[in-house]
Amino acid sequence: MDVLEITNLNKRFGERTVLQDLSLRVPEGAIYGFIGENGAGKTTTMKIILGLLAADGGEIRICGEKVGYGQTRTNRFVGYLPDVPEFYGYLTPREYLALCGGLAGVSSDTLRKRADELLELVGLSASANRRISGFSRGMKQRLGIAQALIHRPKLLICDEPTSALDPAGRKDIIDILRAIKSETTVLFSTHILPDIERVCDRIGLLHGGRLALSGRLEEVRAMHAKSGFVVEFAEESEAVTFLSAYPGGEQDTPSKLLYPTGTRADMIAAMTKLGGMQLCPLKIEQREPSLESLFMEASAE
Amino acid sequence: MDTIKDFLPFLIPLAIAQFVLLGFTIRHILTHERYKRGTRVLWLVVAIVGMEFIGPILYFILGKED
Amino acid sequence: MRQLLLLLRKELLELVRTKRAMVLLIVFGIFGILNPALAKLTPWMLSLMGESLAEQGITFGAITVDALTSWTQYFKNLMMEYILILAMFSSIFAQEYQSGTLVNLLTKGVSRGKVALSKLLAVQLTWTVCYWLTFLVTLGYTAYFWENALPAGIWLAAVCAYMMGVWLLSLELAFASALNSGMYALLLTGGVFALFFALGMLPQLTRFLPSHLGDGLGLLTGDMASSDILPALWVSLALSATQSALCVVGIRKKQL
Repeated sequence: MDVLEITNLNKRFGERTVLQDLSLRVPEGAIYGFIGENGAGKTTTMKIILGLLAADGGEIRICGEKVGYGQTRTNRFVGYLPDVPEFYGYLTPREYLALCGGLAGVSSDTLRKRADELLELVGLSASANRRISGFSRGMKQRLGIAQALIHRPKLLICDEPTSALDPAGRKDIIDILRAIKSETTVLFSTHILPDIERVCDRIGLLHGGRLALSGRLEEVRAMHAKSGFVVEFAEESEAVTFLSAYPGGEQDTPSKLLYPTGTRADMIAAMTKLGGMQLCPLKIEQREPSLESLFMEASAE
Repeated sequence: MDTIKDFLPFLIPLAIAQFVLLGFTIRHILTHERYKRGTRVLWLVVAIVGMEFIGPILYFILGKED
Repeated sequence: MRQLLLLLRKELLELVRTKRAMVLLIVFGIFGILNPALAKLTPWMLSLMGESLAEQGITFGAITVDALTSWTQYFKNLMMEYILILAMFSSIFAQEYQSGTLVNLLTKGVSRGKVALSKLLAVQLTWTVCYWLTFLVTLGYTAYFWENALPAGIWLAAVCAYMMGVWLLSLELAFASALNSGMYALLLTGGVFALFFALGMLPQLTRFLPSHLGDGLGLLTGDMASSDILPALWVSLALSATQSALCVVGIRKKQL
């Protein structure tokens, strides 16, 4: 079943078209990476999903229910983590979660337990009774995840959850997202591609107001897979020697050889050749498209 | 003017209220690093010069950061 | 209902934890003490002035200070109460709009109307407590020093002055929910008040204008009949209700 279905969504800001017939599906249990350059319309799409912005056309369904602007019924299925979550500095995390949970309709008996559970999950147990005003960016981000999950939403929407954080903070957030995978479906936007590779199983690339690329991560990779292989040596001289003995490649960098049209059989032949020449490369691998190259390719179209 | 005794019922609570407010304001200014606008010295001067209550009010409305 | 109570609790907790509640209570307490104190000082100040005036040939008769002098001060100093409470709450919406704190709550499925309602309730509740605190402190001193602390007409005059505050606050919140700046909300409220005040220059209109609800002193001295102020009281009730509704509309239209 699809938790989120977006069909032909349109949105304009004045003259500028931001979303043009955007269609997107997020199946249950997925961690969906929503990629796009800055200004591609990721945040706009998310705000429309949450009913914070009005769409100019198209339809959004969450768990089969239609989303309308300003109307918040479907938000009971959704947890939202804004890009820079802001809290009331005079409350403690426990009080804040009690407020959010109560507003989301979580019953009072389960609320306390759920709050403790989440504070534990995001690693804020030790600060549970401190005022939020003294929290760092990373702590606020983690509290943001806790408040988004307080009512056990079917869909968690995170807007650039890692962009403003240092590497340690980013790793924390990624680990938390991985940990909640069994509980909820996640849609998260980012322009940090390594983060996508670390957690996502599906991606959608937003470009020019529509999805330029989407599907399972490995399928997308396979579809855009390139033939060829790469051999990398420690020394330039080794590379040159090998290239003359086994032509057909080019020097990608001085010590790295690229065989753009090489097949599997070619690669096995090359390995045999390496053995015969008593050469030991740093690595030899099949070419796999990096997300980065897919991103650049799709964005260039 | 009658005797000062006539004014004690006013003076005592007024003085208490004003000094509580002033003390509280000064403590708040000294324990906070940042203000919506202005600097620590500015707010201390304002609070003390306008101590009958205008100074503290100005600080809490214009200077205090949440 | 549970959502509204939770939001109201949050607003009140905010007042207490940001120390606004305490500052307001102390200052409104001070206002209450100042009214009878100034009344008590009146003969002394007049005698000081009297000496210089006597040289110019102006003399005073014997000055009697009584409960009415104390209440005169009370109505004279009302404007400070209005200004203080309006200034205190001018940013109640702007603060949330600017920092984006509302987004988390709204995406939990809370209607915007309830957010506005909780703020309206918290503000009017605070005003009620502060206003009647000043009234009670003044009343206490007045009863201690003078006879007849509650002259005829004082209750109507006090309720009218209270309703003027309710009207001004709901007006301010209606502006505040539609704007991103507390300062503009405060200035616009001042502007509307000035407009009403200017309309009051026409004597036949005065009795309908909520901006003149603070002038109830005449009810105590017998210069005014209750029919001179009651229409304005009803107008203020109607306007307060309308403005509170506009406050809800304002937050609904707000792009967050």
